[in-house]
Amino acid sequence: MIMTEIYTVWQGFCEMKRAWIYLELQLKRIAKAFPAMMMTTLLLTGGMWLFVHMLLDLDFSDEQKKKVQVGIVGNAEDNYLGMGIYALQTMDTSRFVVDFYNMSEEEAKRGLEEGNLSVYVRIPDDFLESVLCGENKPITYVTTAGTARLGSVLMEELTETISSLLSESQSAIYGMQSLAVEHGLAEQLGTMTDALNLKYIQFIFNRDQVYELELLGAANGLSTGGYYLCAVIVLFLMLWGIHGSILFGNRDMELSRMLAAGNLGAAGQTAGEFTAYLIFMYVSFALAAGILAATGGIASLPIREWRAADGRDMLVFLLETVPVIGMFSAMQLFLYELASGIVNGVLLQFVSAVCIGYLSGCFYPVWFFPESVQRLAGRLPGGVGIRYLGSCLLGQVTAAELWKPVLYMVLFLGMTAVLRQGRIAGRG
Amino acid sequence: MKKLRKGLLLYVLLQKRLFKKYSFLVILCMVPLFAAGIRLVSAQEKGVLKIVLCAEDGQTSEAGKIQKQLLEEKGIIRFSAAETRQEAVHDVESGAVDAAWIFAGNFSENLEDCAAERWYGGPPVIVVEREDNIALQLAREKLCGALYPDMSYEIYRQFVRSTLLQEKIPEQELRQAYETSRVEGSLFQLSFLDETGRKPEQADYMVAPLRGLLSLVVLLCGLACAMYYRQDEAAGLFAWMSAGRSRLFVYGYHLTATVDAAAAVLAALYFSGCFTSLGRELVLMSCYVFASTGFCLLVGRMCGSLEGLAAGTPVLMLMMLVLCPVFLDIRRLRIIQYLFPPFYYLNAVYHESFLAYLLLYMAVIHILDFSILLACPSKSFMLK
Repeated sequence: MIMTEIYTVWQGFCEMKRAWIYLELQLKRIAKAFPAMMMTTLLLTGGMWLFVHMLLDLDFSDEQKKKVQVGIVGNAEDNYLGMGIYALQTMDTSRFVVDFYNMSEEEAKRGLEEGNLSVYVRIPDDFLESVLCGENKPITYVTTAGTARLGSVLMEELTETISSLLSESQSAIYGMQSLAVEHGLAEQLGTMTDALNLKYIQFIFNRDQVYELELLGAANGLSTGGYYLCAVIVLFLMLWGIHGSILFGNRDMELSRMLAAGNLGAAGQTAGEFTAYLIFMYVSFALAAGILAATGGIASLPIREWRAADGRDMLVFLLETVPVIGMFSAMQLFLYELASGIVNGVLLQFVSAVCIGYLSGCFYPVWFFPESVQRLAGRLPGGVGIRYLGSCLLGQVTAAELWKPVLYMVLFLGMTAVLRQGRIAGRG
Repeated sequence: MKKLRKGLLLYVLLQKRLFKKYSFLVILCMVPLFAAGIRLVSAQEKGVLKIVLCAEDGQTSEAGKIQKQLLEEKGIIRFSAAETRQEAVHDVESGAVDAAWIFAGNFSENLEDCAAERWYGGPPVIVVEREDNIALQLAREKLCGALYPDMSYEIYRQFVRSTLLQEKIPEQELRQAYETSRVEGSLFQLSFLDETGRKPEQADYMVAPLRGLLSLVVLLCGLACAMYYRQDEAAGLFAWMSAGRSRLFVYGYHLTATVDAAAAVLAALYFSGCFTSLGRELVLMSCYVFASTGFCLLVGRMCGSLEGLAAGTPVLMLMMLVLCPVFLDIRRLRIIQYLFPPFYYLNAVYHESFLAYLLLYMAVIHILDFSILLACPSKSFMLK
C-alpha cells in the first residue's frame, strides 16, 4: 500500500520533472530567437508609439486639440468675400473651433493633399449677387475621398447649419420686403433691409447666446488619451502574435506524440509552451515599456491619468498587465494550434488581430459603433483587454474586471490542449 | 506550349497544397464574412457623439418638436431623449453620453426674449458637458442650426411688428410672407478631390477602413508565402529543379496565396458595398497582386532567413496599417509611404494618377528584385 503511494508520488514527481524539462527546452528555443524578435519588438513599440501620437493628433475629442482647418477659395478681388472671411476669423463663434484661410484653389488643393486642411470651400464668383436675388448658387465643399476623417465629418454637419442660417435669414428679409411693398412702404425698403440684415448679422455672430454652457468638470471615466493607450497596447499584443510563427508555425507532431508516449500529455505540453511564451512576451513587453519610459516616450503622451504618476505607478501598471498578456499569449497559442502551417498561422493571427481589434475599438473608440457592436466588443478578448487595462490605468482594478481575462486565458489553454490531444491522436 | 502546361500544372499543384489545409479556406471565407458583417452593423444607428435631449415643457411644445426633429436625424451625432433634467445630467455625469441639451421649461418665452435681446428669463437651452472639446463645440453649431428657424422667424416677427409696420398684423399674414419667400435647395454641394467611382457607402466611417484592411490581407499572404518558401527550401523540397526555371517558379509560388487572397478580398469588397466596378476593381487588384508579390519577394530576399521574415512581418504590417491610408490619412512621412504597395493601391481607388504610379511601382520593385538576384544570388530564393 505504502509502496503504491510512494510510486504514485514518484510518478507525479517524474511527470513534473518532465514538464519542467519541457518548459526549459521551450525557453531555450525561444531564447534562440529572442534577439531577432526583440529587435522587432522595439521597432513595433516605436510604431505603436507613433500610432498613439497620430491617433491623438487627429482626434478632435480632446480640449487641447487643434482646430479644424478650412480653406476658402473665391475671387480674391471681391471685397465682400474678404470682409466675410475677416468677420468669420474675428467675430463669429465658430472661430474657436475652425480656422478659416483665404487662398487660391491650387494652394487649397495642395493643403488638402498634404493634410494641412480638413476641407476647403469654393465660393462661386457671383455668389453674393445670387444670394441677393434669392437664387443661391451652391458653394462647393471639397474634401478628400479617402478615409472618412472626423474633422471632415463634423464639418459636413456644420454645412447644414450654415445652409439653415442663410436660407432662414433670406426668408425673413424677403418676407419683410414683400410686406413692406404690400403696405406701401417701398420707399423705406433699403433702410429696413439694412436694419434687418444688421439684426441678423448681429444674432448670427453671437448665436452661442441661445444656450448656456454648464461644465461639470473632469470625468471619472477614462480619458480619450488613456483609452487610446489601452487600445494600442491591446493591438500591439495581438499583432505581436505574428512573431510566434517561427515557434509555433510549423510544429512537428511527431515530437508531441513522442512526449505524450513519455507521459507528457497534451495538457502538460500546452502548459509548458504557454509558460515559456508568456515569460517571453512579458519580458519583451516590459523591456519595450522600460525603453519607452527611459527615453521619455511615455511622458510625451498626453495621458491625463499619468499626469501625476511616478515610477512606482508605472511599475504597478506593468505588473497589473500580466492577466491581459496571459490572455493574449493563450489566444495566440490557440490560434497557432488551430491553423496548421506558417501561411495559415500568420494569416489567422493577422485576420483575428484585425477583426477583434476593429470590433473591440482598437482603431475607432468603441462608442463610435452601434450598440450591438459595443455589447459584442465588451465580450471579445480585445474589449476585455481594453477595459481591464483602463481600470488598471485608473487604479480601479476589481475582481469583476480581473476574472474576464483570466477566464479567457483558461478557456484558450483548455481548447489548445483539446486540439493538441486530437492532433496527437492523429485527428487533424 | 508544353512548358506553359507544365508551369500551369505546378501552379495547380501548389494551389492544391494550400487548399488541402482546410484552415486556409476557412480563413479566406472569414474575410468576406467579416466585410459583410461590418456592412450590416454599419447600417445600424451609430455616431461619434452621444447627446441626450430633454424638453422640460413636454413633447408637444416647440421644444418638443425640435427634439423630435433631432431624434429623427441620421448623422454622426446620436441623440437620445431623457424625461427629466436630472436624468439628462446624470447621464452626462456617468459618462453614458457626451452632453445634454436641456430645452428650458419656458423655452418659447426665452426664445422670444433672446430675439428681442432681453435676458430676463435665461437662455432657451442649457448645455451640460463634462469637459468641452472641439467635437462638442462643433456639435453645438448643430444646436444653433436646429434652433435657428424658430429664432429667425421670431426676429423677423418682432422686427415687422415693432419697426416696419408698428401695427397689429395678423400672424397668418406674417407667416405666409415668410414661407413664400423661402429659398429652397442646399447651399453646399459636396465634391471630392480627384473623384473617381466613389459610392456613398464609402463615406461611412465604419466601412471606410475596410478596403485598406483587406489590401493588407493580400500582402500578408505574400509574406506568409515567403516564409513558407523559406521552409520548403530548407527542407530541400525543390532541389530537383534547375536554377533557371526556379526563378519563375519562385514567382508562381508567391502568387498562389496572393491570388487566392485577392479573390477573397474582391468578394469582401463586393459584400462590403465598397465595390466600384468589376473592370476597375479587377485592373486595380491585378496590379496590386503583382506589386505585392514583388514586394514580398524583395522583403524575403532582404530578410534572409525565416526568423528574420517572421520577426519583420509584424513590423511591416503595423507600419502599413499606420502609414498607408487605412484608418489615418497621414500626409507626412511620404518617403516611407512610397515604399509600400497598399499606399498606391488605396490611393489609386480615388485618384486616377495613382494607377500610373502603381504600375511604375510594380515595374521598379520587380527590376530591383531582379537586380538583387543578379548581384548577389546567394541572398535569393534561387535554388542552389
